[in-house]
Amino acid sequence: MSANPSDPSDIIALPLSPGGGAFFFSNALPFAKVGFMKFLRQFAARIVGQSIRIFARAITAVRADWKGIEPVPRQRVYFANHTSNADMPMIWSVLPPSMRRTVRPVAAADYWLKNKLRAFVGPEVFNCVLVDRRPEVKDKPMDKIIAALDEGSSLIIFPEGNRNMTDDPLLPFKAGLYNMGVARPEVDLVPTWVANLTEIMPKGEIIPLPLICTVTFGEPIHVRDGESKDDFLKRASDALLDQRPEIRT
Amino acid sequence: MTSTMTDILLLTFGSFGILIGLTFLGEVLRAREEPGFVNPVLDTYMTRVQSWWGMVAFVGFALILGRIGVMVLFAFASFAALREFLTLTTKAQADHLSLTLGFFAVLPLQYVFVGLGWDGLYAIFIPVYAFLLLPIVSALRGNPDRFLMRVAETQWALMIAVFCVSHVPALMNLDIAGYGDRSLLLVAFLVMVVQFGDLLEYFFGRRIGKTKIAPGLSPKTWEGVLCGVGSAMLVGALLNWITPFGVFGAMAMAGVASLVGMFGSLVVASIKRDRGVKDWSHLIPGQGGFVDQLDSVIFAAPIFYHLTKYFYT
Repeated sequence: MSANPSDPSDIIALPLSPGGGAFFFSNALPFAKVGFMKFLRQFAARIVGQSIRIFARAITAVRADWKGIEPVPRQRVYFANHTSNADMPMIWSVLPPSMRRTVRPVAAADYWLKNKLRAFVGPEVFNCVLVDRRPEVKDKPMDKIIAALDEGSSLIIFPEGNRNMTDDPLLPFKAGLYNMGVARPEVDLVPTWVANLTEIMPKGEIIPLPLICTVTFGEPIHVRDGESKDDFLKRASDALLDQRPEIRT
Repeated sequence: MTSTMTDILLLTFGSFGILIGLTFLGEVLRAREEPGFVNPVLDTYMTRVQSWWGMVAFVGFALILGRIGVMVLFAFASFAALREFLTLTTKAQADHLSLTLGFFAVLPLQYVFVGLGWDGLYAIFIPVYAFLLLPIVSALRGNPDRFLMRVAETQWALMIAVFCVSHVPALMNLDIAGYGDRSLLLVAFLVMVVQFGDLLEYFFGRRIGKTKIAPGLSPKTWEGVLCGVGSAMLVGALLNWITPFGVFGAMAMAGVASLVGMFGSLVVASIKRDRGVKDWSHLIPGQGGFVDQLDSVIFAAPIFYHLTKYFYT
């Protein structure tokens, strides 16, 4: 764990009821039935995942621009700009299958456990690492994130902490990205820019506009020896801004 | 089997025959390469040929399905082209509703009108009604910032991607005496002469091209364009049996369509240059986007339609 014990408010987003996930399967069920139910749920999760991917492709023709990295399975933390709830599914959709299976978006538990459908889609379709940043909760978000990294998963995180509703291209980053980089320095931190989603689905609009969405992956960065938190976060933010596609208007 | 259907099958399999030849040529060249050496020109060529296979299959299949097939194919092409175009235009959140209407109301309605054969309406629906009404929808949201740019660019997008593209299936509505239901074949004629002209313009431009038409904008040369238009006229003459034009009429129509198309793609290149992009999108491997592939057909279609209507109906 990092030298800087993560301040809960510093990381991404929110709550998991203790032991979340297990409540889907009652212990009273005989084992075989549990196994079958689990298989069915996994099957359903795959179908839903494919449908989301096909839908994203049909509407936005979403594609990846591998500017700084190759699409190869390697442990990475993709840190992305966050303007819409569709950001994460877009990044997830453009990853090739082998990478999609090992990537886990870090997401707010309060959002993804709000109802049964989301509780299925978030943890089971996207295999989210659900984090709860309420101060009173015992399992700290950074512990869960590090645990996921130690299992070998790649992560998708949104270091701005919240959806960016301002006219600025990025909000100031929270410390979470720095803490991850310090705790697991060997993991590549990949700046990932999701373009056009603000136009596709501006806040308060109901119908998405079918414009082309591009996800650009830049060159990985790492925390340098002796680099301060603020310096690193500034560098990470600049690296992310560099991935914006150039379109003059 | 009707004679129209026989002709469509003949054209489709003829095109497949040409593609087999082109694929074979590429494979032979590839086999003669030094091992471990990759020739980028040949790679691009092969990717393009592969995309051509897909396109011939799609257009051929649509023609075999008949009127509905062609309508649906070009409606989807319009959708893809409009998406590419509007991704690059100036817009604000105030335009969200008018742009949504462009995609989900104007585009389908235009194709419904074409499908119903209401030629009085589909000729003016976008140039008059969309032109006047969509800016009103934008203005109601009360954001004057770059307003003229926003509405003008949106209208351009609709004209290019919807109005012009819809004039390809509209050819099926032309009622030409003694030609009957064969007007479906005009779609094949237009697409084939324009695309062949482009292909040969590219080839000759690379081979013997010297004088650039618009330096700094496009690699097109006068020599390439002349050869391309000449080739299109030749192809037109060879295909005259599917048209009501006769040999010389078919040559003239093919030449006009090809020429307008080539200069149209200069216009499209200017827009790309202005926005600082190389291609409209990535959807057709080796070609870029739908607008990249269709630019010349887009410009040629309305003119070909109106010339045919004026001289032959």
